Order: sequence, then structure tokens, then C-alpha cells
Amino acid sequence: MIDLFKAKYRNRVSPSGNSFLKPSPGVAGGSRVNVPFDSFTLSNGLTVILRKESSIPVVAVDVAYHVGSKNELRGRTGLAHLFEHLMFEGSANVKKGEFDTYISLAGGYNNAYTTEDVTNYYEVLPSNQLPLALWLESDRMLKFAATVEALTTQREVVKEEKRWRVDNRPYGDATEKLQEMVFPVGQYNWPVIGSMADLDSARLNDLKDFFELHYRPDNAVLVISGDIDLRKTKKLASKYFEDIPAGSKPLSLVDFDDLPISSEKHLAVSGKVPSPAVFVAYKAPPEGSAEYYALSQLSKVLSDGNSSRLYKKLLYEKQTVSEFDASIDGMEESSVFIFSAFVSSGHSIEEVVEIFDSEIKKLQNSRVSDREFRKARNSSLSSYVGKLSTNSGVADALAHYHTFFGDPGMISSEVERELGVTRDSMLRTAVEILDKNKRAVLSYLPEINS
Amino acid sequence: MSKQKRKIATASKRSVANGLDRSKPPRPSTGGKINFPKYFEKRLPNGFKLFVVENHSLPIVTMGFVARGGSTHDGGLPGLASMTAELLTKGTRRRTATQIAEEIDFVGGSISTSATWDSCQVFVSVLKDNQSTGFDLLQDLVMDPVFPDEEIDRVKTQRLASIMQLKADSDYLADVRFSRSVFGDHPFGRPAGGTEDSVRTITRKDISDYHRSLFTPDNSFMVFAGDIGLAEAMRLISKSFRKWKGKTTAPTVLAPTPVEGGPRVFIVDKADAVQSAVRIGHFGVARRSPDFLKIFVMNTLLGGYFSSRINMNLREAHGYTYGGRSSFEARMLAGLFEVSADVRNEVTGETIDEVFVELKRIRETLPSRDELAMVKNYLTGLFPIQLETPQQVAGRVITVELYQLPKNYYRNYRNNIRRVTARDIRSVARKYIDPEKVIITLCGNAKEISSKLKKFGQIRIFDSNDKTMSS
Repeated sequence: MIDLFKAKYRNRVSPSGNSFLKPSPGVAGGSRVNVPFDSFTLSNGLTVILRKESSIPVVAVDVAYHVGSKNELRGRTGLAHLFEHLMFEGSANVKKGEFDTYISLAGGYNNAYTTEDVTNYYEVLPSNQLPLALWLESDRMLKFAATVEALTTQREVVKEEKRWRVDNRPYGDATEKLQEMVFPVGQYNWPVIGSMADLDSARLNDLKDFFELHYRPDNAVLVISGDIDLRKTKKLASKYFEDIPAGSKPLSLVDFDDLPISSEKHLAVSGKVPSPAVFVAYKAPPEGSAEYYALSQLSKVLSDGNSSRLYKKLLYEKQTVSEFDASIDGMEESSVFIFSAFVSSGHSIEEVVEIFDSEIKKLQNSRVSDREFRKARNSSLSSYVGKLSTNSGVADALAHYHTFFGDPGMISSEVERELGVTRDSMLRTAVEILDKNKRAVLSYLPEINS
Repeated sequence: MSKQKRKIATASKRSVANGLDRSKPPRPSTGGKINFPKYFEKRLPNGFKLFVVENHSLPIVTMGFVARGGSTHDGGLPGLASMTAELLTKGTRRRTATQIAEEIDFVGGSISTSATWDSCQVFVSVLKDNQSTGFDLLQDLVMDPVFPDEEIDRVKTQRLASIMQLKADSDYLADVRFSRSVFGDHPFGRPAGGTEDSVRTITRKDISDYHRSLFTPDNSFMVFAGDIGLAEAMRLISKSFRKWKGKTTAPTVLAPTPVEGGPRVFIVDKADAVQSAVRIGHFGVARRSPDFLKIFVMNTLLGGYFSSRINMNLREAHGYTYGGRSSFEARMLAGLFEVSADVRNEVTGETIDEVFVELKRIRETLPSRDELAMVKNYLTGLFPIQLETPQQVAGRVITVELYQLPKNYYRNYRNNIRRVTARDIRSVARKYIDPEKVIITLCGNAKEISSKLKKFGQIRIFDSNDKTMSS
């Protein structure tokens, strides 16, 4: 299905995994999730989180800067993600191209991604190469060193990325159109990748200002997870990051602008697509709110697996759709619950929306069954434990919980919040949030001659 | 003299009071050694094999059944293996499709089935506490599927819709045309997911015959990975796979032969395309080729990782693309060598020029010591990182068993990579890459790009239904 909203704009295409292996969902036992870690803050404001896991000599290093596309200004969109690309183009002591060379020579891999709210850099290496990762990350936190040449190249790379993800793909611009409907004003209005026009007008000075405002230790967190000695690693982190000055200006806070959706909004667009598609979006409180977790459980009942309600109604009883999804995308300032579907030939968008609406109505009128409720809870446990199966997964989770909530302990406790959802709160949330009169509906239709 | 002083002065400015010299990368600390993990292997009297990768770090058990033979055995029906795999979850003698879904979803587990070119796989992953439920489902799906007509109809409808979606996707169209051009009428030349014609034609008998011919104890094996040991795994299979009877009747499939002819250009027209999905290559090697590891190292250097020549050239030097890569996809019978990149229309010609530059360069000059060291360090360093989970280890075990590689293949993997020399790289490049034999396939805006491509060879243009268009 299309990557909506939480499309993480990764720096490079990930290599495909081993085709013989399906990832484990990480189903949990009866016991709680528990991931111990150490945390401290340097004098310059950098938070450092360490987690020891010594089963194999591997270490994951993750640096997350609390900046994303929501920190941009209209007319200057795409900067955060473009900046992420430039972070690989050299720093004070690392020449252009050397970052990747160093990591490869050390026998590791690296990547980065940008969202509306955060920019995250990570590498995974043999554990004896931890000093290298810290040297590289601290060097690029220390000083902005990108050149006009680097900007020129990466601008083109990002534009190709946009062409590949959006312009050259059926339904490729659906996300952007839906986003504009759900967030007509404010900082979530534009896509993370930005517009071609804004990318063309980005100047090196804009990026230098961006660095000064956001790329500073007091706006970042360093997470190290793997085969480490806690005491030695603490010393190493201080050694490399302590002398980086905190930002000279006060931290720039986003005065987030938003409007609730107060009616049912409709937009129909057409393109060269083989079948109609429909996207229905509801705005909800941000990730971490009670409503967010209730919606997470509601989405499981609606669309998790082939025993889900929408699977049965939309795909099994009649093949009204060929593919669908219903899920909650959580961001720092807001969440969006999205239902999306490709309509099968011989069926219509209206028919699909009618079936969807009748399922929502059922959720608003009666509590989910006890069995469905327990099923959703079992699925919650699986997902949370699944996140723990790799060091890079744990590092990413710790960085995320610190950045969004100031509480990395949520790596262990967040599952309890989801398990705290009740059948009553699911019903109440369905009534309050999945309101037919407060949503955006995007219809994507085949052009007549396509 | 004064210049030298200035240099020294600058260096000491960079050194900070705590003795940190940022001007040079730090040395690694003392490293931990890791060997390929031990695992259990047992062969049963009926020919069935069992592997167990025991690891108790998380209370998860993953169970994988693998039958030898996959889309290679589609015969004249592309998509047969893939559809058979999908239909395994759609009903057995004891359970309907709905019951299967309900049972696995309730415990928060997962079932996935798939066909690769060389295997059909059924994977179930569950909580330790739900181990018996998970296993019972797995063996039921593998041994007793019934392929109800109603479910076949549903799968067909969905697959036809999905093919329709794919035919609007540049990458899919380029890949399909490329395979067809290289392998012709052999099953490798057809989409493994099926075509609209084949999906409509496949019957219930085709599916059940396919299943019966390949899913036999002498033609398959199982891997358990995670929170389980050998004794427990043996107990689990004792009533089912241990007692399983049957002999495989899978037909022999002949290896494809390379399609003859000089450089050619095939364009799948997509009138609104703003990028060209470019695929350049030719016949590759089979997985068991004695040169495979050398080819793998050579390919990584050429286009197999971010710092590869092709990616550095197309993306970092020229900004033509978000990513360029090359691969030697090696199957049991034969393989495919392919360079791929999605580039904006205007630079389609230049991209192909640069690919030829790289294909010639790797055949003509030896890689530098640094370049070779980097790719070998990368591959040897990455290997243990990819053994973090028992499921990843299981994947390697499956590769060794499926392709009948030497038992110590992965134990010797890193040493074998270290032994590859610059001469080896050049020599396998010369033997297995031939710029004179390449086929160039693109999916893109034929009107905009075809004039620039005439210099590469004779051009043929197709529509998204693979019908030739008059150019």
C-alpha cells in the first residue's frame, strides 16, 4: 500500500532483505517488556543514552536531531531533508565522500531519515569500531562544512528521489494532496521532501542558518546500543561530544499552527492510474495521547490480518477492493487515522466508502467483542517485542521516545499504555474521532483516456 | 619553512585540551570475535531434514518449511508456484481460510507463504507459549491444503487487480521486459507473479498437482529458529513430518540458454513518465558456480553498495538518480546480471554512457588497493551484523541447504572474501560481464528518449501489455 504520512525520507534506498526470510513479528511472552538503559546529559545539553546487549559484537549508534519539516517556513520547504543529505557531504575533518568510506572500511552500514518532526542518523558496526562512529557523528555536529558543489549535487539527487517516489508513480501525489486537506494551514501542510520550486531556490546560506538553529547538542540525543562497556562508553561519548558548544541562540520552538477539520471535505483528482482509489482521513491528538492508543487498537480490529473486520467485508465476502489499509500515523503535534483502498473493477468508491462507514458505525454503537479485544492486545505485545530484536531497532526506539516525550523509558512502558486501552475507550474514541462530519475524503480517479 | 609552521599551528588548534585530535579517525578498540553460530541438523528416514537454530534471547519461535523448487517449475503457467503458495493459507481439511486467519491473528502471530525461483516457503512466527498452535497450523497448511474453488476465484480476482496496478509501475514494467529479453520463453523470462492470461488459465488441478509434486518429505526441510531446542523440535514433528510419506515427482527443468544477438534496446512506453527505469545487463551465473564468491565481491565493488562505482558515478558524481546498483541474481539453474537506476528523462542517454564506462573499466583496470580493502572490509564486517537474530541465521542455513553449498560455507565465508585479489576481480569481470552482449531495457517516455538511444543499438518499443508498438 502507499506509504502515507509516515513516509520516512531515507537517504538511500535500503538493500532488499534476504528473500528466504520473513521477519519475526516478535510475539511476547506473558511478562512485561523490559529494556534497561543508562542516561546522562553533557554540559552542552546533549543527552546520551546507553544500552548494553552483548550477545554479538555489534553496536548501533543513533543521533537524532529534534528538527523536521515542521521547522521549515512556507516557501522554504524540503530544507530539513535536503540538509540530511548534506550531512554526508563532509565536515571539518571528513572530506566529501569519506563518511561512507570510513563506515564501509570499518565493516558497517549507515543511513538516515527525516520526518515532519525529527532527523535521525544511524550506523551499525562491529563493536570495536564505536570510536569511529562517535568521531564521525561528533565531527558533523561540530561544524557546518557543506559546499555549493555538494548542495548542487544533492539538490538533484533529492529531486530524483521526489520524481521516483511521487511524480513517476501511480497515485504518487495522493499523500501530498491528502496532507493539504488534513492540514490546510500550519507546518504539517507541506511534504517532508518539499516542492521542486523550493528545492531549486535553496541557497547555501539558508542551510547554514538551518544548521545553527537546529544542529546543536542541546537539540539532539545520542543513543548507543550493543556490545559496549558502559563505563568506557560514557567516557568515550564525553570525549567526542563534550567540547561541542551548545547553540548560541535560544532553541527555536515551533508555534504549531493547525485547524480542526470541521466538516466532511471532498476532493477528487485524476491521474494515469489503473483503478480508482479512495483515502479517508481523520485528525486525532498526537502520538502518546489516550486517543492515539485507542485508535491503534481500533485499527487492529478493522484491518490487522485476514480475520479483521474490513478484510472480511471488503476483500473476502465480495472483492470490492484489491488492497486496503486502516491505520493511525502518529506525529509530534497531531495524528491522522487513514483508511485507504484500491477499488476493484466493477465496484465504485461510493460502495467502498459505504461499507467502511457501516463498519465505523458498528464500532460507534457497540463495544468490540471480548475476543477481538484480546486479539488486539496480543498483537500489541508482538509488535512491541518485535522492536527489540535488533540493536538498531532499540536505538531508534530510545531516540524516538526521548525526542518526542523526553522519556526513553517508554521503550518498556509504552506497551502498557496500549494495553491500558479498554473496550469502552475504543467506543468513545470511535464516536469522537471517527466522525463522518469531520474528515477529508480524497478520490483518485483514472483519467478518461488512461 | 613558514608554510610548514602554519600547518603545524593549524593542527594544534584542532587538538583540544582533553587530548582529542579530530584531524584523524580513531583506531578501533580490541574487537570481539564471532563465528557463524552452531545449529542442529538431523535427517529423518523419509528424507525430511530438520534444522534448529536455538536462541533464547526473546520468547519467539519462528518455524520455516521449505520445499525445493519454486517459480522455476511454473511450466507454461507463470504464477503457478506463487499462487499455490498463497492458497496454502486458504483452507485445509480441518480448517477454513477464515479459521486459519482467526487462529493465527488471535495469538498475535504471523503466517507467511511465498515462492521464490527455487523454493516454496511457509513461515509461522509465534510466542513461545503458542508454539503448539503455530506448529499445528504450519503442518496443516503444508500437508493438507484443499484449495477450495471459491478461494481460488478470490485469489485470481485479487491477483488480476494487482497485476493491473503493477502494469502502471515503471519499475515493474522495466523488470518484466528485461527478464523476457534475457531469458526468452524459459520460465525465468516470465513474471513469477503471473500474467493476466496465465492467472485466468490456472486450474485447481494445476495447483494441487504442483503441490503434490513438490511438497514431499524427500524434497523439503524445516528450520526452527528462536526459543526452542533440538529435542523439543523433534517431539513437535514426530507425529507429522516424521511420518510423512511420498516421493517428489517434480519435473526436471532445463537451464535457459542465453538469447543471442548484439546490443539491443527495448523501451516500454509510458507516456507520462518523468523518469526512465533503466535496466542493463545479460545472462548471469548459477548459484553453485565455483566463481560465485569472487563475482559477489566484484559486483559489490561495481554496484552492490552505496560506495560502489555505479552509485558513486550516477548519484554522487552526477546527481542523475536517487540510487544506482548492479546485481548478479543467481538461481539454481542460471542467473541474471543487471545494472539498474531510475533517472530523469533528460539524462537517460548519459546514464547509459556512464554504465558502459563502468562496465569497461572494471574489465580493464585492476581495482586500487584501497578500493578493494574497502569492499572486503565492508562485506566481512557486515556479515556478523546480519546474524543478529536467530531468524537471520536461519536464512543462511536455508541458503546452504537449498543450494547444496558446502556445510562450512558460512564458517569460511569471511576468509574466502579476504582471499579475493584485485586480479580475481578483473578476471571474473572479464569472464562474466560482456558489454558487447548487453541488453538495454527501459520503461519511460519513448517519444522523449528514444532519439538519444539509437546509438546503442536497434530499438524496439512495447506497450504495457508487452505488444510491439510501431516506432
